[in-house]
Amino acid sequence: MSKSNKKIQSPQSDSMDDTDGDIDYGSDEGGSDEEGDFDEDEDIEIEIEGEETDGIYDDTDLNRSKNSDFTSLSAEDLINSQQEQVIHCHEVLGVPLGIAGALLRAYAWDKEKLFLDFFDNRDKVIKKANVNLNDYVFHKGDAKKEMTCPVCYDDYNGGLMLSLSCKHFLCRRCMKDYLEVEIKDGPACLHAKCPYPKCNVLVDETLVKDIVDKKHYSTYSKFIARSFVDDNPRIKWCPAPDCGRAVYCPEGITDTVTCTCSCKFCFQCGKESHVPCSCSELVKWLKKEKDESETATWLTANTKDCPKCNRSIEKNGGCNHMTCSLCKYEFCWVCMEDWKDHSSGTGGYYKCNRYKPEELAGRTKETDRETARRELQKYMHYFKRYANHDKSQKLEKQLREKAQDKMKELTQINKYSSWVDVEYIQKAVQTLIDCRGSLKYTYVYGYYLDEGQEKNLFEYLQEDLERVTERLSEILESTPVEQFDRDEIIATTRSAATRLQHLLEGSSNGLVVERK
Amino acid sequence: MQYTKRLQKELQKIQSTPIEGITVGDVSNLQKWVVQLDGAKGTLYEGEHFTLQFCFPNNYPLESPEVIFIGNVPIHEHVYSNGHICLNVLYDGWSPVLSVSTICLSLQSMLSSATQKVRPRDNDNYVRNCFGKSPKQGRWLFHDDKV
Repeated sequence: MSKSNKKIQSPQSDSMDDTDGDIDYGSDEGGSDEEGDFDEDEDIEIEIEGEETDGIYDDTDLNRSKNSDFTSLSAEDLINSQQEQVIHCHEVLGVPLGIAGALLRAYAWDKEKLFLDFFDNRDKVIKKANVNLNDYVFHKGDAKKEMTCPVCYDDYNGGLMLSLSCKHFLCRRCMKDYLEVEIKDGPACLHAKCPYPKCNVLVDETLVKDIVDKKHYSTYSKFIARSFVDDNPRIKWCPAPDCGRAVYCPEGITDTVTCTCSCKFCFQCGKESHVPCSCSELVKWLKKEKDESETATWLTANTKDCPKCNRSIEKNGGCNHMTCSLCKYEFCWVCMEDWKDHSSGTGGYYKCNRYKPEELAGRTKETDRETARRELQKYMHYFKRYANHDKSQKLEKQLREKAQDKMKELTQINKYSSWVDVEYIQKAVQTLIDCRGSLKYTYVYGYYLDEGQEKNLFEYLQEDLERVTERLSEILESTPVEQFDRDEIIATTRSAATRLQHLLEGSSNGLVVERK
Repeated sequence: MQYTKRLQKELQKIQSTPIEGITVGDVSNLQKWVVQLDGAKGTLYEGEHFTLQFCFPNNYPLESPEVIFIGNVPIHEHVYSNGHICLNVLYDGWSPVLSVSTICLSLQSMLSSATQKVRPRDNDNYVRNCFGKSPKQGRWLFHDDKV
């Protein structure tokens, strides 16, 4: 099976020219590569609106909804911003550094709430966090007396024994061993208390640093750094493998965020970005996918037979325009109809996204089996399209690396073109991946959408976006690099981006406006 | 073993100042003790004798000992028929300040507070699933934190 290399005439190429005007592809913005400034001063919002607008926040990111300012943080940024938070808390509340950290952890790093509560009822806050403001250092025993360590049962001079404010003494070695075991046991060591049963005095961070060895302290610090993200509803780890960065979102209520590594994910559930469908719909869908995956029908979604010669075909590219390598039959991967039928003459190139419930007039009494069969048919309709976009998206992600090569190639072919001149390719590929990702989830969204006017409109937008996306995919994959038509690619990219934006805005704001 | 001295001292102490109802038996192997626990007077277990087995890990007392009933296993809501005991201080609630005698006292108090002789509700299921395993390998959900 080979992909078609034939360039087809865009059925509605006139519509490629319409743009929104707000997307400036000519400008030179390396925005997403910049590390965001994560300033923990109170005026963080102002900073984001002001200085940063020229950097990250101007990036043409259509998957971002309103009120979603966010910053990608490297491992180093995380440690720095955490320290800044602790220092800020230490300065404002006038508490020691170790206690500032413990208080912030007790408040899930919600500094504002901590400050409010602290100034409102200081004692309550201190009690809640199990800290002692005036007494957080190690105490030594009476140097004139012999004391027995309750852990190793050895006798020591009191001056060599240590305790927290509770005066439950341990010898130095046992205190060290105890804390190191706690650290080995995991992140719960951040809440390590005096080893005496029922004693709730918290071991201060600075004491841990004093007493345990370097190796254990570094583990302990890692837990503290992790707690900054794990316990903080406004920071989430980037789910991309080996990324290690986290994304900070001051509002904490946004959906899709983009990490510096270009991974787009949902800030709510931490999964790959899934707009326009909601987190709960996605969970339902994925569960269904898992349940249905064992059925034989599911397998048919992965391979298909050529409608002419019946040869088994596996898709090797993102575009739906297929040409059988054996009989050269051209067809559409989704509806398996002749490709010729997808021309503008037959009412739009892409007519395969709509699910039409079978005519059921006159058949009031359905058996359970028929209902189930109909339900499965409906599901398979959506699932096939979902899986298809998913597969295309994976293949197109590989295109990202190829795009770099293509860009290099182009600058070499034409001595007068610089990197900026070919950057449109990168933009086009990214837009393609974004559209593909959203298209995939439009089928989840569509599956759970009730029949009606809203759904019709949504499917119209979906079809529109699908058509342009396929077009973009076709140009990028099938055209040899020296034949790239810069203007056409830019126009198509823009057109796809605009459609994606319309679809996402429409689905989040509601498509049908009720007239009063 | 890091803390041999502590175990020796614990043993000495428990032998020199015995606690009522607690008798240390075979300690030929310092890392594996056998202790006899008697049912306290005026409780459901009066007159009964039970045997506990303590296995001390290498980093005892930083890590808790493995404690099980062997032989005659008391019928109690927190004791499984294979001798495993559901008691917080033996697992997550362990602290290096605790000792063999404090564990024995906790167990005695656990037995004494019983109002009826029954096995844990999930006994059969638990015993089937943990065959041959140490109780410390499981994750315990404590039915009762009062003891």
